[in-house]
Amino acid sequence: MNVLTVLLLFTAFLITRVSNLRLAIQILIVQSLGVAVACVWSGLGSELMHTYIAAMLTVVIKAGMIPYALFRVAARLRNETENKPILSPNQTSLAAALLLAVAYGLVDQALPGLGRDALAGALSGFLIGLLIMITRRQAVLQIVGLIMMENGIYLLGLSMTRGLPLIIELGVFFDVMVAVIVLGILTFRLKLSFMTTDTTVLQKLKG
Amino acid sequence: MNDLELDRLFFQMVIIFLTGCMSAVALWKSPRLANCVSHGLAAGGCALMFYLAGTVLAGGEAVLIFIGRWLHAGEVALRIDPLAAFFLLLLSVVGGAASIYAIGYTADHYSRRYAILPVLFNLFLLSTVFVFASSHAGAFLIAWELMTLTSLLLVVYEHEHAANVRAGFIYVVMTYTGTAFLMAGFFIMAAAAGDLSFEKFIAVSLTQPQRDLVFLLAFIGFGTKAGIIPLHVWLPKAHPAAPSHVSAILSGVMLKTAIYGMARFYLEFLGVGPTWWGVMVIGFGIVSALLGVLYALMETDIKRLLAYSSLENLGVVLLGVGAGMVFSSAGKPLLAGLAWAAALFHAFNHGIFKALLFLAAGAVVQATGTRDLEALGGLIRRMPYTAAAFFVGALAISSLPPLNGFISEWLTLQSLFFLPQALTGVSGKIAGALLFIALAMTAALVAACFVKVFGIAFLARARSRKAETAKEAPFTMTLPMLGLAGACLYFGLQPHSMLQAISRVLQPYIGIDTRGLFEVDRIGLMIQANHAEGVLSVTLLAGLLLIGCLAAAGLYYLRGKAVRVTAPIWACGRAATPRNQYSATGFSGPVRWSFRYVLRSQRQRIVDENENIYVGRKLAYHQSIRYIVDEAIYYPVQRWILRQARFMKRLQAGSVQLYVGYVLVVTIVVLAWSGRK
Repeated sequence: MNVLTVLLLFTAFLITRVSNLRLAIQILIVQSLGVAVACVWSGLGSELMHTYIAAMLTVVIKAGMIPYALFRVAARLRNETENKPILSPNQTSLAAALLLAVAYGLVDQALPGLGRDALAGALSGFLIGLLIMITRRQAVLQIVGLIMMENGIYLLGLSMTRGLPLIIELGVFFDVMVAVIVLGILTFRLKLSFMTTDTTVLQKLKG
Repeated sequence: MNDLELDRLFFQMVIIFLTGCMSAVALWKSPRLANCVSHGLAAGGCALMFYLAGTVLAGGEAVLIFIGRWLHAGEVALRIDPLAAFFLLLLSVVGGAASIYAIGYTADHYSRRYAILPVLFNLFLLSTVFVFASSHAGAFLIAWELMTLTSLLLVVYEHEHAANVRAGFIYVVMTYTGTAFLMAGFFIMAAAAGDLSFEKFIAVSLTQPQRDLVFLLAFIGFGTKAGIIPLHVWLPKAHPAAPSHVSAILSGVMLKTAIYGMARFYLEFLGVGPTWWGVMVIGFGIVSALLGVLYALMETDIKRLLAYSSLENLGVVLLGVGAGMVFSSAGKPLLAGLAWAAALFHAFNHGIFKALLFLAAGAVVQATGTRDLEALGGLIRRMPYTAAAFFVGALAISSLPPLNGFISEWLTLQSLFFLPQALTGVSGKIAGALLFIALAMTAALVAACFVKVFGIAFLARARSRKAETAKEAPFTMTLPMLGLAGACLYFGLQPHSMLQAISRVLQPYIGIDTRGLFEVDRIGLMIQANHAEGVLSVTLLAGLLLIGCLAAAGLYYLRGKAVRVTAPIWACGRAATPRNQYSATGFSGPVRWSFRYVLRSQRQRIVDENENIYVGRKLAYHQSIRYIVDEAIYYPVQRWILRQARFMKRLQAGSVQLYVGYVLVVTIVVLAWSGRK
């Protein structure tokens, strides 16, 4: 389990450093696969059938359909890279490290006693996802941040409760899928309307 | 008639109103048919309501219509007691007249969305019925909100005009704020009684601070609906915005739901309270009465003028209510009965003559296409029936005998006259004397106001082309107007029937004794209160009036036969135009000057100096008054809210990244907070 936590954190830190959209999506696939393995891992211990279904869904949706959709969007966005992020890669990595420390602090304070490292890893995955959304201008990178956040939440739930009821997980997957579809369409419209997928142009919409 | 038949009658009435809604929906493709059927059914429902309310009122016993258990709500009952029946009677008279009037009036409004109008009209009447009939806090609040909602939709029915939508918005804000206070009041009662039904509220034991709180909450809640100053801001905007037949019900009946609510709370639930309750009600009443009539006098929009005049009349009703409360707390049940009876009778009378005036004003507006008094004139020759009906209404609202407004205002005056008996101390005596004068002044100002309206709108020459070509309204519109005018005359000449019914309504309440208050003598109505006996002989008054009229006619004919000479009007050598006539603004000038410290009138004259002064110069003249209540209370509140809104707006920078940042911060804060030791 600790190996997987490290994998999660490693991919999260890696994403703070990339500016190429396709590379970010590839890293995301690795992270999602790691989450699926963690899911199977916890299923092995408890012999619950539905964890396997959840793991399968993770692979299909988060490592399959969503990256596929993102690749398709990214393919149309040729000259789009994260040129001037709001925080530079070095600063972002530093902030991510700070968030990791904050996550450990929060876990110690709010949820003492449970698996400390796994919880802190999951929580920092969630926070770093948010950080990516805050510090990146590119719409695709924001979607990547959203999925990272989602992975973090999923792992958090997994390490605290040994898997949520299947119906809730299905709901969460459906939620994420719809969100990504909508965001994908929005990204595409953004490109059409503003000739760029830099989300800071959205400030022009404010009345 | 026993309860069973009355409850069947009630449900028949409900079904008739619902059929009225449905038929309008079903016939939406042929508005003419929808109009006749739907409004006709509404009139039929009102006729049944009249019979029902009359029976209950004559019987003097509460009638249980329906009772059922509802999950946690307890026993939900529909009950018509004499108090409710009294107000239902008013609704049936005004609603019936407005329904028939609507057939002619709305025939001008046929359009694609016409069907909405009769549907809402029927629903509005029905929800008002339920406001009066509900004997359960939850049911009452639901009916109350339905009434607000349907009336709101009627107010914004002509939503092409931005002013109407704005009026609707202000109405919603004010009335929902009022309802919030009402709910708080009801919940305090319910928590103490352990039940939501009105029957359990009656003998509920509250501590004195709790009673004070309930009194204040109900006063603010119902006061917002009644439009007492300073809670009135919505009223002069919303009432004129609605179609005229709806305005008639809004002013005539919906305002009275507030008086009904106050009677329920102060007579039935709270019983006899401390003296300051009544004094406070009187204070707000007299301010509403005086300011209301002053603003009415300044107004040149005929419907808004009538709306402001409603403020004045509700103020007069509140004077009666407050005096009644003062008398009960001073242990003078007979005087309390007199004051409450005056209040209820004035509420009833105001409902009738204000509805009449709104209907007549609607006919004028429809015939001329304008609400501006300055563009009217000379309508008495073109619209004789409307003019006659409006004249009767104007006399009644100016409280002149032998019309109904005189009786109730005179009774209010009488009860104020006795006020020094109940208020101890010098200040009480002085206040009693001043109130007496203030009410008399109000009545005089109302008379001036309606001299202005009638003189400017109906007499002299037409001030615009539209007024010149006006046609009399169809009989479906004039008939209900004349009917209401007849009712004004009837209750003016035969007030004892209604007054005795009101005394039966009031008799069961604590602190009130109306036995032998109103006796019918050979010469007329006798009022016996404490040591003083008042005699009001309407027949004598009518006789005197008749003699006066005959004498005037005799003198006129004694002078010899009138000779008609036709000649041009002398206007300093120039042709006299209708613009040379007295204007509505000019007529109210002296009052505006006398009350300039209250009205803060401002005027602006722009003179074109370039032209020769001997030939005549171009003049532009603007006259406006400032509303001190709005400026003192509402503008600061508005400014404060806008300032807060500007501050909040800074949070919404429009940046996606910033918004996600808020999520991050909130997440960390919540997690840290949840883990605090």
